[in-house]
Amino acid sequence: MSAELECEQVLLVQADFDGELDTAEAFAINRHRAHCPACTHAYEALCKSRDATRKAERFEAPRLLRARVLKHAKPRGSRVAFSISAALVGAAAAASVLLIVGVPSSLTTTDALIDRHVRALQSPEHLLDVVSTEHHVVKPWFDGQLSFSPPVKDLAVTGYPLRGGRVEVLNGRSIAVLVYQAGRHTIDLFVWPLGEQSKSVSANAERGFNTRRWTSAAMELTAVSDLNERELDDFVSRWQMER
Amino acid sequence: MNRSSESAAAFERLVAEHLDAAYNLARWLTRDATLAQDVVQDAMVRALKYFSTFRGENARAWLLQIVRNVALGKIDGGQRTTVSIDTLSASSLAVTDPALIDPASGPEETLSRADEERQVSACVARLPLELRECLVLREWDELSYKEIARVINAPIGTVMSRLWRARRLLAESLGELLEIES
Repeated sequence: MSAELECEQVLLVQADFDGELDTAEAFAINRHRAHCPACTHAYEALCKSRDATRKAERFEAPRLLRARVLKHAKPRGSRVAFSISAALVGAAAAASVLLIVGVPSSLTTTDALIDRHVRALQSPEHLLDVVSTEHHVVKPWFDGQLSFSPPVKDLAVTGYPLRGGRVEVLNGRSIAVLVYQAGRHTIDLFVWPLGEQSKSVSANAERGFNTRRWTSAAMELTAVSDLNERELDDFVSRWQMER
Repeated sequence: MNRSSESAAAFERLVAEHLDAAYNLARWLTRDATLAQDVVQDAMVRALKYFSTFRGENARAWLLQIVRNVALGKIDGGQRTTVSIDTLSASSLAVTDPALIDPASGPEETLSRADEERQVSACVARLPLELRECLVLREWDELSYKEIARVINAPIGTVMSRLWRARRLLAESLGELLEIES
């Protein structure tokens, strides 16, 4: 068997061999193969190769490697959570203990919010639980989902139309997420209740996302987006100005 | 359970389930047990880092893609130099070392299963890297053409032709092996 004798249909013969063709395609190539010596030969080579690879070694991960990797699989941040949840049977009990040991503050870190933002962008059905550009619709929806009432503002006139919202659960608490459109970009505005107030905005940029965190009217707010800094600052100031 | 520990548990499950496949691929790509372990360990660290952005579709292909990329980074230049596949002959792959072919048994005796496994493995190991990875992903991991294309970051047409070259070379080299034996 040499390359010169190869039929141009050989890759289709192989695709059939690998179960990649639909019924009609498979039927056609089988008919061709019946009359094509080169393809008949190729099919034999495919069978021979598969027969051989079935005999070849299949390596299994050494036990030490498995142990090392699995030990590493537990993320550093949740090691505490892990040992506690292992010790407790009830999932609810584990969650309440987590609150006491103080892991929660780290769970509403900017990093965690960026994760949620990225995840939401990757699956459109997860981005919006309520789809509406009307704050008159979005606000009552949130009121039905949450124990607090997030400020929902319509910024369409200033160039940031509301797309809707969703609820994220972080640190065992529900957080409102208002989703705004900024050109081709999406801004997630995370909102949750907080005691103390301050007007100052803290800025952060990680992993290609800009974030702005501030508090207003007993709420803590964090805007996460891949918008550039200047535009995100503009969004925040317009949000703060809007009553 | 809280989301973060839920996600850690999900990652653990994923790793536990696909670790053998990850190691098998790393082993076939590096052809070295120690290096393969390094590759898997590094790949898992990388996978953990990106796990939060992983949406849950086709975990196996996702993980193997990371393993493959890490392996390519660790494999030395020698193996990565592209061999011109057209000029590559089956005899360059065939195991001609008599010690390998006929370790203990007499010529009349049929090859034991272990010998056969060793010979086939040696032939696969000698395939050029870019052919070998396609073959392993298809025959060991049973990935579809589309999944292989994703793992090696190449068009499906490339996957198909590399796979065919790998199999043809393997069949030919095993054919020559039989000739040497008889």
